[in-house]
Amino acid sequence: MGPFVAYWLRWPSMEALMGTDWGWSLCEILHFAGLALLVGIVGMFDLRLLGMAKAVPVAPFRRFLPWAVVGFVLCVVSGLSFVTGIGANLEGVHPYSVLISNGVHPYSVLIANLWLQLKLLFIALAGLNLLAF
Amino acid sequence: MEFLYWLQDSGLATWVRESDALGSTFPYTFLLALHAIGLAMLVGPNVAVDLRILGYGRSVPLASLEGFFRLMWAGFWLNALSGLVLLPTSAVTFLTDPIFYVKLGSITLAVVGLRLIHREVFVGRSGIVTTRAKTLAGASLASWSIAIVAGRLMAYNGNVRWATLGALVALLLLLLVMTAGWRMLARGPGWSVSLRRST
Repeated sequence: MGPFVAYWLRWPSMEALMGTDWGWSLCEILHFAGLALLVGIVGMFDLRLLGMAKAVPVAPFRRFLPWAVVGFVLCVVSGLSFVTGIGANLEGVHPYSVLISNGVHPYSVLIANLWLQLKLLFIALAGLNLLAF
Repeated sequence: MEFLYWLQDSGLATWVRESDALGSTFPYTFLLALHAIGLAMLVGPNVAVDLRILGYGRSVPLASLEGFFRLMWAGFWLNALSGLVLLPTSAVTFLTDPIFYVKLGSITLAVVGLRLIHREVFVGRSGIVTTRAKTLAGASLASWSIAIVAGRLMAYNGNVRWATLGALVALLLLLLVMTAGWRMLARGPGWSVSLRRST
């Protein structure tokens, strides 16, 4: 009963979604498309402020920022699926149940992986920077 | 084939693939990161130019966007070079894979399209949008989408590829239906107006 309740409380189970043949790769595609939109368009904006392509008026160029927000949403959704679905990716590669019984939870990647923490920190900084505009 | 195996086992390819410089697979990871940065530098601004041609953000003068072409070409060369170094690391798999040629083909189309857009819209004309420019912009968006999808699918084998393509098409159809539904809702049901008028 306990495991069932635990599973149900976590519905929709990201392990189930990311365990499908297409879940992980589909999220990767969305992550890269989002990356191009977000970093590309925000990068254009920043470079414009730094003096590149001076002929572009800054104020109207903000019209393009919603597309960067679309990219951001794509990246957040697919990125969260990577982190919360990481158990599915471990399954089969590692004896997943052994990991769990040793007290290693899949989400410990959030605690253990310094690079992921740095990535999230810098994304947060970039997000604050964008909000300031 | 012989050549591909030679390429894959060459010193550079082995070093990029297997070196544990700085404590991890640093060269390979670093090159992959460069490839992603180049992608953002090239595809992001190109999408913005395409969207502007297709009518978004009309208050930005189209001709002024020419200043960002330098950025796009820098991204292109960054990716061409990093891709050229990454290619030998699995030369046999990549160069015998149809989807790799789909990726290269769509990138070629997109880059040629970018040059044509440049000639059509920017050279000698102060950013006048022609029908031809709009067609090119739409084709450019499509080629970049195909390039990103194909590039990502290269990491997987047959079964996963078809499943992912199916899921992607399903997702796009869902988005299309939702957008259409939202527009109809936002416009309001036309039949109620005609009903009211008829009574």
